[in-house]
Amino acid sequence: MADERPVVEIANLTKVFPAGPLGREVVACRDLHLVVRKGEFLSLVGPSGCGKSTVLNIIAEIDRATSGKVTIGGESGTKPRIGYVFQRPRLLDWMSVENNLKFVLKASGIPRERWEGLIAHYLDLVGLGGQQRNFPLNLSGGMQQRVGIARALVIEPDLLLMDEPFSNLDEITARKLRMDLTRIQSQSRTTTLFVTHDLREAVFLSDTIHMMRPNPGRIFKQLRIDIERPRDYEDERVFALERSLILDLLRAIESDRPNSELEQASLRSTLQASKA
Amino acid sequence: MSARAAIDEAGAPRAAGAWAAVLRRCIAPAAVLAGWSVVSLFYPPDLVPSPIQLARIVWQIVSDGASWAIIGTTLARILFGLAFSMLLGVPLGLFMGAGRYSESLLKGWIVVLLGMPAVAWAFLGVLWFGVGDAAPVFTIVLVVLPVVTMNIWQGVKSTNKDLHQMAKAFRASNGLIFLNILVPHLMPYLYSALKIGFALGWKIALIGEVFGVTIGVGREFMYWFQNFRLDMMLGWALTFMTLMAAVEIAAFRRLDKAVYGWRKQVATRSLVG
Repeated sequence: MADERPVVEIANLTKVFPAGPLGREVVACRDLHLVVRKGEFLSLVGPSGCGKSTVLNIIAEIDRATSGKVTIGGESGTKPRIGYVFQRPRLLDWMSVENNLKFVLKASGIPRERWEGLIAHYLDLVGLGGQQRNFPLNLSGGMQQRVGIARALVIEPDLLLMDEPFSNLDEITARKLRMDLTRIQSQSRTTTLFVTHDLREAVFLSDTIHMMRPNPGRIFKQLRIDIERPRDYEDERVFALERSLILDLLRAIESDRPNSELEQASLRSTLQASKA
Repeated sequence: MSARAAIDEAGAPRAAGAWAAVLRRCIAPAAVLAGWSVVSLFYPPDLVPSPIQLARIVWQIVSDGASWAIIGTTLARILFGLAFSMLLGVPLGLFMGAGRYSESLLKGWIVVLLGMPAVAWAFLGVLWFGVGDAAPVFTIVLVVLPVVTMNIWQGVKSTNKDLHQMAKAFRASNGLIFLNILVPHLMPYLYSALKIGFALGWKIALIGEVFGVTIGVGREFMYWFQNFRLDMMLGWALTFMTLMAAVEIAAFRRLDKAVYGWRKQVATRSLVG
């Protein structure tokens, strides 16, 4: 399935946020390695504050690495196009849905004569056909996020970055959008780097999962998800994998911090209860 | 009962309520007019004119062509001062909003300018520029400019960082970000700067014109004051204030639409959908 050509190659990535007037220096991630291959759907999973979003922002050049190497390969030599879906939609509220998409089409330098067709196609794909002239504030949270996804896809990116795109939605809406995302992915096969703290979501969506632990953020486990597609969100295997990954994560965090005895004891009892 | 009848029945008491509201609003002005009329009986008309005498004076002013030349001159100075303040204040505000260094460079000056009383500028204007148009325009600019600058500066400071990040992630150029994110965001600030600038401008214009001009509404004030004609001063004040209020309403109603149009469109659309 996945082509072997890497779209993203990260080596020895370290990001340190210098100490501010209020806080200590924070090491968001240290010596991180990551390879995302063409057509792959890869999820970075971990608890809050383990540097997942920082990695995305460095790839998108919103943020700068302290050290390390980030290579992003596009189609033969051209600067790769990156689509980004944020946790909140981040739409330009004063513009129609259509103009929100035109903004990124223009930014990406896509020829004007292709705009109409691309906009119609991708709005249809996310289930917003005919909403071109509507304004973001008229749309529900879920629909706004759909516009955000359409905006990321409309530039036909070499790489799609998604930063917890469903975590601000109610579960029913989020589930619908996850289903739609897998449908869209099966058609477009866009290389995707997805960040989430929701393990079931990651198992359901991904080809590959990389698990991160905090302080400092680093990847401690990688695995391929071999459940065949289309997947069912309620599938027993999805459940089972989610459960075992949560335990991995808890164990990793426990071994990380020699914390108070009480905290350790409660973690241990959680782990034991889960084994029973 | 037909739907029509139901509407009529509900409509009638509402109409009565509206009339009552209008009447209620008339009580205070009517009381003031009545009290004023009574007081005016005890004083000579050039010190406390009755409402009717004042109305006659206003009519005398507006029906005289010379008054319009005076008002026109003052209005031109206001608009010129306002335009100058905007042309200077907007770039200054943008510059201040651009970074911490540029902010610290100008912040102190803005605070000093804001604290300076208009009368001081009016005197300075006359001393520096002599009698003529320059002095009152100078006064207007020095009062309005810091207000405009501050408005734009605050606007730039309050831009949404998330949207900037979004635009950068999609490789938007600075020009594209400026036109599509910063400018729409600044429109309400620009607009309120213009609105406040105009309201301040015409009040300051009168102060500026008291000293340094041979023609102007402020000069009329001074002239009638020196002749102990309070009735004429009041007549000029009333005429000019009403005119400026009319200009404000007429000009800004249109601009309102241009600036807040997208919001209204959102509101009406959501009512329909």
